[in-house]
Amino acid sequence: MQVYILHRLFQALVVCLGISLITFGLLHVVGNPVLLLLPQDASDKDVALLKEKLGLDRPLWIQYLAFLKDAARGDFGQSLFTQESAFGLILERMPATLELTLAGMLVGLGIAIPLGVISAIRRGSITDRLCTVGAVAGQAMPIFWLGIMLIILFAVKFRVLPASGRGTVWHLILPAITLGAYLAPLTMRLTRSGMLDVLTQDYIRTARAKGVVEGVVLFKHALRNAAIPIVTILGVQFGRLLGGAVVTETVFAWPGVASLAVKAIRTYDYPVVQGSVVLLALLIVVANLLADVAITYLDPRIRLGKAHG
Amino acid sequence: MGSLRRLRFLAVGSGIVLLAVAAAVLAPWLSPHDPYLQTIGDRLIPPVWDAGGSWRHPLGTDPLGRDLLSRIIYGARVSISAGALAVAVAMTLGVLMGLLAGYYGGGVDTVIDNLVNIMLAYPFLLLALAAIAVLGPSFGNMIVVLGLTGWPVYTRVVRAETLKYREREFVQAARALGLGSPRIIRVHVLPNLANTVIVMASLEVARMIILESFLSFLGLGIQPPTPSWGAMLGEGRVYMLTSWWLAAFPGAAIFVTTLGINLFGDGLRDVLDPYRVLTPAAARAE
Repeated sequence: MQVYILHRLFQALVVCLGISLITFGLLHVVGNPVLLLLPQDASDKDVALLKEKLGLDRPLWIQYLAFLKDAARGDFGQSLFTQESAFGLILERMPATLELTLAGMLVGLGIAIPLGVISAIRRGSITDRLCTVGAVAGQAMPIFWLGIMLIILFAVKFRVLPASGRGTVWHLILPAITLGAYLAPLTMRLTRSGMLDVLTQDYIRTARAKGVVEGVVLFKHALRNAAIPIVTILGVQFGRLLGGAVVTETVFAWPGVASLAVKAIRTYDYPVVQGSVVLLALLIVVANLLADVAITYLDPRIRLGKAHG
Repeated sequence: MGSLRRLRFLAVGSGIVLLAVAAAVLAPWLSPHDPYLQTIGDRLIPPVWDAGGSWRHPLGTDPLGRDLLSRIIYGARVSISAGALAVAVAMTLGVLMGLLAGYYGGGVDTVIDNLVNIMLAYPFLLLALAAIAVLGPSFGNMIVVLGLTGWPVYTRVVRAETLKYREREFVQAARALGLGSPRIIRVHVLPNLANTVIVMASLEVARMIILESFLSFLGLGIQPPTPSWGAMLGEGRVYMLTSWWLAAFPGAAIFVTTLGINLFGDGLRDVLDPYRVLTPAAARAE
């Protein structure tokens, strides 16, 4: 088990390095920060001066190593516009993103897991069919459109909820629904298929045969085993969820890391772009890692048996 | 799930996809107005069933007095071609990498597998956004970026399938007969993966259309005045307090199209691959 976790940690480290390399390469090799920062008629002397000031005149690999060294200490440089520490700016907005992601996840799972379980138990019923149709439709839904429609409906027409910003719990409702609607369809389908797999297993029949109450059979015997694929997916879905957060934060002007990153990308504030992308990726890596550890815990076959995976 | 009902999904899905493709191809004949024609006197006319609407502009007009219906019909061209081209790029790259990793294994596999892990952990949308910001927004750049960021999905699945086939008797036999690896891959492995890849690719078209729309929505994709659903939705967002139809209809066009593609892809999977079980590994790839 320790070996397995160490192996996964090493993998996570490789992933982090790779992400930092791609981000750095994209911004410094493909793009040229200096040309975008200066007016078009800037003289060569100005260009050279700014390069020197930003340390961009050094060889690329030295710049990359310096970037890595600083990043490891949480120093991503300063925003080119506000001169504030990029890491500080990102950290300041992290709670908003976590709040939104968590709320979205709660809404998504709160819809998906009960519906998935019910669909599996009542396979082929009207409820099951409605859920399947709903999931298929939900998977096709562009959530930025859903968000705008929710704003038009609840903020403009009925005037019951705020259209944008963050502050009260009312501000959280529409963004959380939007993000939850992004997560729910796939999670529901997986819960349903996971439950269906489990419900045909021998141990379920045994539990029923020895007279265990149906509720206990479903929640203790079935759902706990069906949880393994769900948790796997959730870990992987966290990346999708952050992608959804990019969209949701943009639509609702939610002051989180993702909207900061989008703004920084558009203004070419590369220290902020580097910092936020690397930190968001780090979050994804950690979430995947946690999901893997959670699975080893949930699945005794992995925990006790094939521990070196 | 009843196979008959699945077939119905397939039929409805194909119907919607055909309709969208027809709209894209026949746009000049179908649209009631020139999508670029600005009539300042006809600004922000609501759809026909709202007070002040008229049959001249069934879905209303935009702030420049352009006919919304015509722009949505023309918008199908951008979305469908962008979705299909981005998938073509991603699929080619992804399948190639998957075959290499699965068939050759060893160092090649380690490198590709790590690359896939990196790409899957990368916040996809931010990567695409950053790349577009660096390269500059244009249709071509968007295809390249979507293609280059969308390949790992295929690689994961193709690699796993190739690993499986590599050990099968018919591949071993081909190798024993002295066939070269490229030929074995082409003749004996690839055809066996075709169904899986076709199903994945058809579903990915929907995802790429949504991504393209989002990029255009942010102003980083298709540039005005070219009508694209995403850009129209972005424009509509500015007017959402007063003119709901500007955002509602282009978004509905995206939704219906991606729904059609998903129904088609799901149905196709049941026809081409009836024994496929949704394993966590396969689901990861989705």
